[in-house]
Amino acid sequence: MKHEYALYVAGKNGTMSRKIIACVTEYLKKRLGNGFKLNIIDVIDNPETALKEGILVTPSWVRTSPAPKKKIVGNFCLEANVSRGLDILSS
Amino acid sequence: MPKKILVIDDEDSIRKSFVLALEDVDCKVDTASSGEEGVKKTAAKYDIIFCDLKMPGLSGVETVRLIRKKDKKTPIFIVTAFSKEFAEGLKKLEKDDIDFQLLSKPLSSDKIVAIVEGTLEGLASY
Repeated sequence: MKHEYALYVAGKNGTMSRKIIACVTEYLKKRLGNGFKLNIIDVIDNPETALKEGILVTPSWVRTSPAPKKKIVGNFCLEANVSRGLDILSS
Repeated sequence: MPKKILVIDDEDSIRKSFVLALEDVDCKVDTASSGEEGVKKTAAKYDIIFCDLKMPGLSGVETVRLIRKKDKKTPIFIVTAFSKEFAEGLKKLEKDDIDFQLLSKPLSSDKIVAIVEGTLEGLASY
């Protein structure tokens, strides 16, 4: 089964957001190969989606499938945090 | 050593909600009631800055822009209701590559603690 994740960022073209997206994507590839889907959602462009999904803060990393939905916030530029984050989202 | 947090908001109740929420967390909360005061206070070093978006005088966008001229590293959360109404100002910050994050209103103590812990410790569930 493919794992589905969403990454909510504040402005997907900013340096920090691009760094976060790259770190999470690379780590997911390393751990899961092609067995994942990652949706990037810019909260500035899509505030309604963030509200609907209960997103409180950026950057938020969410496991959308399989259920239950899990959300974490943190510094996702550090591989150690991304690794711990994936463990939390997978548990 | 306690971590230092700066809350910039023209609403007294919001400033107080941060102070109360973080009473039991090992940090010192400093407040500013305007963007101008907040910018002055950032002459000192903080670990996290929360800045309201909609304030009289300097707006949150202008305040963040001024803070970032001197400080590129401290995490700054712009506090706002998630709405397209504010997209234009935020997009300008993004276009100028000024780093910021967003925190949605309304705020609760649990939310404030989770964000602060997640930022200081690197990760938190919420």
